[in-house]
Amino acid sequence: MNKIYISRGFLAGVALAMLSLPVMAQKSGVSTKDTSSKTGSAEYVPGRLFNLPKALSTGAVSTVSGQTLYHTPTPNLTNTLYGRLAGLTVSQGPGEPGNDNAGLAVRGAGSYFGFVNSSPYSRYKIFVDGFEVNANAVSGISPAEIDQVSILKDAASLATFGLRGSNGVIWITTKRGSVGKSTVTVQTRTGLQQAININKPLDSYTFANLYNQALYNDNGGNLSVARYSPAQLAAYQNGTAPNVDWYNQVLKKNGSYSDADVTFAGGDTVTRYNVILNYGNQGGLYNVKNTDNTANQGLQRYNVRANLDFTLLKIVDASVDLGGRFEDLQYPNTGSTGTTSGFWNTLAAYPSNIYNPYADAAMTKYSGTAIYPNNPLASIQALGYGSQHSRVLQGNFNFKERLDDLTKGLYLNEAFSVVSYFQSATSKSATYARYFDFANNPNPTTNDRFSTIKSNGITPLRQEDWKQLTATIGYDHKFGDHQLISAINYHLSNYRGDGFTGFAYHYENISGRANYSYKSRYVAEFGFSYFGTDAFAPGNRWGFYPAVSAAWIVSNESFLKNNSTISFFKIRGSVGKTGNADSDAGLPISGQNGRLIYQQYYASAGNYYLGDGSANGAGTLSNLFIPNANVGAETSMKYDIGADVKLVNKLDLSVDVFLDKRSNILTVDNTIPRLYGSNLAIGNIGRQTNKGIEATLAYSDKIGAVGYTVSGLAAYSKNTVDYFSEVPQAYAYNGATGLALGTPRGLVATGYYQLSDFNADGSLKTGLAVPQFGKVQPGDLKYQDLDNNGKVDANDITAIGKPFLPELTYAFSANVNYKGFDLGAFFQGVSGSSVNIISGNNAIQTIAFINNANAYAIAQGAWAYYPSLGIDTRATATYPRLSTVTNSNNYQTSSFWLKSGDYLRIRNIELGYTLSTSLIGKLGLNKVRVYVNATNPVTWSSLLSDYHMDPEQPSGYPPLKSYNIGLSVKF
Amino acid sequence: MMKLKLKYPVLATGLLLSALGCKKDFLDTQYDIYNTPRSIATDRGTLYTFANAFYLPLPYGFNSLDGNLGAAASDEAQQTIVGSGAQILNQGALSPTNIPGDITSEYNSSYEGIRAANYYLDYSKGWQAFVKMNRDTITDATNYAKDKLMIRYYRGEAHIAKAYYYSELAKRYGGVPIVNNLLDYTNVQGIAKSSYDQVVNYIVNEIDTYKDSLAVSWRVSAYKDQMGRFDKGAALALKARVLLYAASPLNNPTNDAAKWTAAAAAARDVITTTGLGYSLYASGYQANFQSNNSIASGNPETIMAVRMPANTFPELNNYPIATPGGKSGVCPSNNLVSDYEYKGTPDPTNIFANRDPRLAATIVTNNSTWNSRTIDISAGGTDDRAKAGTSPTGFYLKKFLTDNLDVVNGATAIHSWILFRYAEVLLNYAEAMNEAYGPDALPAGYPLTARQALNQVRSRSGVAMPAVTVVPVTDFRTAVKHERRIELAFEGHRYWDLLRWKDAATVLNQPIQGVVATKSGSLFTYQVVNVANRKFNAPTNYLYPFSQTEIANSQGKLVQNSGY
Repeated sequence: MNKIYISRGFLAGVALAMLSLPVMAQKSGVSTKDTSSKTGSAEYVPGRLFNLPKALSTGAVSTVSGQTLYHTPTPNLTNTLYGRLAGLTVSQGPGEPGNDNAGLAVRGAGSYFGFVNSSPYSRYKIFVDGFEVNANAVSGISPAEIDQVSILKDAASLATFGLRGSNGVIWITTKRGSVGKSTVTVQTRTGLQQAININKPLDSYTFANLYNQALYNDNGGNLSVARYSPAQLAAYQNGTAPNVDWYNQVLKKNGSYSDADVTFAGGDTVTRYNVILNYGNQGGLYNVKNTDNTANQGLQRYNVRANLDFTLLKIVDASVDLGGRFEDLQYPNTGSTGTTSGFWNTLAAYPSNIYNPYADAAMTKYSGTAIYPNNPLASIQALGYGSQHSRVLQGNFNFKERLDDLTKGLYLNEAFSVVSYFQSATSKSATYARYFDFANNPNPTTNDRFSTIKSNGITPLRQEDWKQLTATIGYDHKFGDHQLISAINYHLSNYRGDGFTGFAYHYENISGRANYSYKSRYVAEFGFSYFGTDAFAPGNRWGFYPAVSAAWIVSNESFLKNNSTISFFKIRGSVGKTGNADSDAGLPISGQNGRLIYQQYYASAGNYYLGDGSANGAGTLSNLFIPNANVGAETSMKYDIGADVKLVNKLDLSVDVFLDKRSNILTVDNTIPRLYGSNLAIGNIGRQTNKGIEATLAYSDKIGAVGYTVSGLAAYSKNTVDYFSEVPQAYAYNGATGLALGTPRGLVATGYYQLSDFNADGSLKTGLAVPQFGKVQPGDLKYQDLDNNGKVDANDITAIGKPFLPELTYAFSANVNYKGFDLGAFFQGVSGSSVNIISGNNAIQTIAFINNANAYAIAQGAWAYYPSLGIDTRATATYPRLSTVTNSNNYQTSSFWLKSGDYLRIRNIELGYTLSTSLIGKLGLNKVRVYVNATNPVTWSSLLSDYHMDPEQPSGYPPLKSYNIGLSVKF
Repeated sequence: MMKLKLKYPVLATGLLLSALGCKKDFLDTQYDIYNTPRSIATDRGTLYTFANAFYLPLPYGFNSLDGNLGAAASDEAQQTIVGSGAQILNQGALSPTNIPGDITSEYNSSYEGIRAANYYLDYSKGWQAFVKMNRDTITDATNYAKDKLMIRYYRGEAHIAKAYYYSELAKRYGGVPIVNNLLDYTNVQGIAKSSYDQVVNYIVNEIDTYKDSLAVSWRVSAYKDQMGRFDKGAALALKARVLLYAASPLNNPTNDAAKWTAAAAAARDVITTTGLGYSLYASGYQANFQSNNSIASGNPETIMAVRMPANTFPELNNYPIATPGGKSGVCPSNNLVSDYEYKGTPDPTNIFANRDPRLAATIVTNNSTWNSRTIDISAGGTDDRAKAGTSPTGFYLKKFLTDNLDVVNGATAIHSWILFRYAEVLLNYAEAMNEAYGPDALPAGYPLTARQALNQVRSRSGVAMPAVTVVPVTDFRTAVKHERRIELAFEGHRYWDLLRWKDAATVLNQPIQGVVATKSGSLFTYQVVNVANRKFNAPTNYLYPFSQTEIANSQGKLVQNSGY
C-alpha cells in the first residue's frame, strides 16, 4: 500500500519539476539572491520554508550555534544544551554511556497528555534540515556537524507545523559548504570523566550502632535486643570484620571521553561540499577491563555526514545530504538489556558490613548470601557483558528551481528524505556461586552455581524507517517599499516500525507562510497548516491551524532612525492555533496513547487456569480500550508578545511573554461509573493553561586589547491543569485539578511525636489525631489533620512543594579574550522545583534499615532518646526514629521528605589559546587553537550539601563532570 | 515560447492534483500486533478466549486484603503489620471517602466480570453458524462436536458467572444496580440500585434457567481438563449459599420461614442431584488444602476452585519472621484458637493437645514443629514474641501452607483458592434445615437431617469429632455456627457469617486476644492478653458504602447505603 503513496508523492514532485521545464529549457537567467539561504547567520532567524532577516521576523525563536555547543565534550547532543536557549528546560539525565539523554521541554509543560512516566519532557518535535526526525537521531548528532540549533516557541514560528507544533519544535540545520577555498579542519579532544557526586553509605561501625538503636526502638526501648555486640562493634572499628566500600571496589577513579572530527569544506559556484567524519569514544566508570569475558560500560560512535550542494543548469540547485551513524555500546551484564542503572541500586543498597567481596583468603570465591545475593564486585566481573549495536542512515535529496524568468522571485523546491534506524543486542552471560565464610561453610549459600561464559544469540530490538516528501512553491518579491516573502508547502510523512512495535504513523501537511513588510518598518505575517493525521477517524483527521503575527520595527521610524543609543528596537506579537495528536509514536497502545482510538482492538487480558490437578493457562481476549469515533486532536491557542532591542550596538536584549491555552486534551474519562465494567474510555475533555516570560541579554565590548562578552538568559513558566477528569476527591484541597502539572501531593508534616504525646499504655493522648497508617511511637512523624476529623488518612493529602519541572531556569556566562587567549565560564541553574527524597530509587539512600536496607549519613540525624546511653537528639532531630520493620507512617509522601531541587552549576569553564597566524602560517596552517576545559566542575545545591544527592539525578548512574584538553587545527 | 510556457504547467498541475487526490487511504493505519474485528472474524478460538475473560475477575483469596488473606477483617486473625485496608475495617472507619483499595478493586472487578459475561453472550449470539465456519463438519466431526458442546456450556457459564459476581456484590453492598446488557459508552447514564431481594431473585433466576445448559460436573466428565469452569454442581452450590444468606437475620428481618425452606431445598439439590456425587475428602483435613490435592479430579469435595501457577506468596507472607523470608503476616487470634473443642481429656502440660485435630491442621501453636524447628514464643525463644515482626497473637497460620518451602530461593507450591466445597454445602444444609424444620426433622425428599449433615462434617477423615447431640433449635444453631467457624476457618466466610447473623455487633467489638508464653524448664504456661481493640459500627457497617466517586458519577441515581 505504501508504495502507491510514495509513488504518488514522487509524481507530485516530478510534476512540480515539470512546471519549471519551460524555464529550464530556456537556460537563461542569473541566479537571483537567495533569501531563503540554508546557512543561517546571526542576522537571520531560522524558520520553516524560509529564513527571515532579523528585522522581518515576527516569531519567538532562540538560536545557538553548533560552535557554541561544541564547547561541551559529551557524546550526547542533548547534554550540550543546558542554559543555551531561553525557553528550553533541560533536565540532566544519568551519566551512563549510551543512556545519558537529557530531558528537554520547550516553554515548560503546556499539556499533560501523552507523558512518558509522568514526565513532561520529550514532548517536543525535532526537525533536522527541514525533515522531522526521532529523538534517537538527535542524541547522536555531533555538534561539529551542526550549524545552528533553534527552538521555535510561539504561534508564528510554529504556524506551519500543525499537529506537530503545539509542544515546540527543535529546528536543527547542519553545516553546508560555501563558495571559497577548500579547507580541512581537524578537531580533537580527550579528557577524564568523574561522577559529580557519589553518596556513600555509612561505614560498618556507624551502621551497626544505629542498627542497634533501631532495634531498641522496635522493641519498646528494650536494650537487650541489640544485634551487634560490643565485641562486634570493636571488630568493625579495627578492621577485623567486613567494612567494605563497595563503590571503591566497583568503580575506578575516572572514566574517559575522547572524540575527533575531520571536516572537509569548500566549493565554487557549481559545487559546494561539507563532509565530516567523526569518532567518539566514551569509557564508563566500572573498574573492569574489556576482555573476552568482561566489559566496562562504553560507547563508540562513528558519524559520517556529507552535505553536497550543486548548481545545475544555472537555475536549478540540487543538494544531497548523506548521514550515517554507527553506535556500539558495551556494558557489564548486570541483568538488564542496554543499561546498568539497576546495578547502581544494588550498589547503593548493600551495607558495608555484610561480607567481604571474596569469601575465601585465596580470593577465588565470591561472597553472597540469600538476603544479599548480588555481590557488586561479581556483578561486573563474573556475569559476562552485553552489547548493543545501532545504526542510523539518512539521506536527503533536495531540488530547487528558480523560476525568475516566469516571475521574478518564484521558485519551486522538491525534497525527499529517508531515515533508517536499526538496533540489535547481543550478550555473553555467566553465573557464579555465592559463598559465605568459605573456610567454615564450603557450601554455596544460594542455588546459583558457577558457569562459564557463553554467548547468547543476536536479538534485533528495533527497526524503523521514515520516508518524507516535501514540495514547495515560493514567491519572494520586493515592490518598492513593499516586500513579500511567501511559500506554500506540501509535506508527506510515512513512519514505520517493525518488530516489537508494529506500528505505522502517517501524516500529510499542507502549510504556508506569507510575510509582508512595508519599508522594513511594519511587518505582518500569516501562517497556516492544514494537517491530516492518521490518528483519528476519517471525519476528524483534517484540521486547519492558522496563525497571525505582526512586528513593528520602531528603530526604523523617523523618530528613532538615527538614535545613537537604540540601534534596533522591535516589538512583535503573535496569536495562533496549533494542535497535538499523540504521544511518542514509538509507543504501542497500552493505556491511553491517543492514536487510533476510533478502532476496535482486542488483546489478551491474562490467563485463567484450568486443569485436573494442575493449572494450565486458558487464554483470554478482551477489548484493549473502549473505541471512541469522535476523538480528535488537542488544540493549543498560543499568544506571544515580545520585544528585541539592541542598545549602543553592544547590548542585545530580548523579552517574550506568552500564554498557551490547551483544550480538548485526550483524557481517560473518570466520570463514567465503574459499573460500566471498563474504565478505558477516552475523550477530548482536558484543559490546561501555561504562561511565562523569557528574557535574554548579551553585551560585548572591548577595553583596549581585551574583548569581553557577558550574556544571560532567564525563563519562567507556570502552568495550571484546569481539568483532567480527576476522580472526585473528598475535599477540594486533596485533588490535583487547578495545580501545576506534577505538583507533589502528600501529607503536611508538623514534627515528631514526643514522649508527652502518649499515654502509659502507648496509645495517643486524646485530642491528637490518630494516623490510620499504623501504630506510632515517640520519634515518628506527626502530620496535620487537615479535615479535623481526628484521623490522619488519605483525606489529609494536599499540594506540597513545587512541581518537578522547575519554574525558573537561568544561565549566565562571561567570555574574555586577550591576544590569542580566551577564557569563558558558563553557569546554569534552576529554581522552583522539588525532589522527593524517598520516592522510587531515592529511597535506597534515605530509608534506613527497613527490609535489609542500607543506611546513609541522613540516618545519623534520627530522633532518639536513650538517656542511659547518653543519646538525646529530640531537639535537633532531622529524621524520624530508626526502625528495622516496615513503617507505614513515617514514609508516606509528605512535606518532610520534599526538598528543594534548586541548583546552580558551573556548566563549562574553558581556557584556550589561538596561535598567532604568523607562527602557523609558515606551516601552511590557517588556525590552531589549544584549550583546556572543565564541564560541570562545581555544583551549588542544598540537596547536594545537606543530603549528598544530586538535585537532577539523585539516584542511579550519576551525572558526570569532566576535565578535557583539546586541539583544533584548520588547514 | 508562450505555448511551451503554458502547456507544461497545465499538464503538470493536472498530474499534481491527481497525485494528491485519494489521500484518505494513506491516512488509514492500524496496529499490527493486536487483534481487530476483522482478524478475529474467522477465528473460532475467540469463542473460547472471550469466554475465559469472564473468569478472570474471580477472587484469589490469598491476595484479597493488603496482599494477604482477608481473615484480618474478622475475629479470626490479626495482621502483624497492620495493613491500611485491615486497619480501616478493624477501626470501624469505613466511609465513602475512606475505603480500602482492595474493596474498591472487588467492586470494579465484579462489574468487569459482569461486563465480560454480557459481552460474551452478545459476541457469541451467532455461535452456531460461527462454529461451522471454514471447516468440514464431517471429517472434523469430533472437534466440531466438542466445540458445539463447549460453546453451549460457556454460554450457560456466562450466566452463572454473572450470578456469582452479583452474589459477591450483594453480600457486600446489599442492593446493587443490575446490569443485564452491555452498556453504551456514548450515552453514559447512572443506574439506580435494585433492592437486595431483587438481586437475589435475579441470581436465582439466572441459575435456575441455565443450570441445565452446563456440564453436570467437570470432575467426573470426559473433559477433566476443563476443571475450573462453572458446572451444574457449582451453580447449585452458589444458589444454596445465596439463598442461605438471603434467609439470614440480616437480610430476612421478618424471619420468613419460606426463605429458610428455600435455602434448605437449594442445599439439598447439591447433595441429591444425580451426576454430582460429592463427598468429603478422605485423606485428611490439612491435606485437602495442600499442593494440588484440592484441584485433582480424585478429590470429591471440591466443587470449584480458582487455580494459579505455583507461587510462593502465602508462605512468603505468613511464615514466622524467624524463618528466613517469612513475614508473619496473618496471625490466628486466641479468640479462634480457644474455640477449638477438646477431644478427650485436656492435658495440663500442653493446652493445645487433645483438641479438635483441625486446630493442629490450621494453626501453628507454640511448642509445635514448623519450618524444621520447634516454635518457642517465650522470652528468649526462637520466635520470642517481644522481637520485632513476630506474631502479635503468639500463633501463626498453617492452613494452605506447605511446610519447609524454601521461600528465600523462590521455591513454589500450588495454592488453589476453593470457591465452593462440599463441607460448606453440608453446613449450609444443616443451618437451613435447622431453621426451617429443626435439627432432626426429615421431610420427604430430603436425604439427611440437619444433625446428620453437621455430624458428617465433624466425623470427616482425620478429624473424627464426636457427634453433636443438643436438641433445641437455638443450641443447635450455636453448634452449626461453631462448626462453620472451625471447618471454614480462613476461607473467607467468617466475616460474612458474622454480618449475616448480625453477631458482628458484639463479636467484632471485642478485642482480639493472643497468648503470652512463659517457659519454666520445658513447661509452658500461657496468659491471654488483649492484642488489639476492634470496632464495628452496627447497623451501618453491615453493608459497605459505595465509593464517593461512584455516587458522584451516577448522576444522582445511585443512593448511598444508610448510615454513611
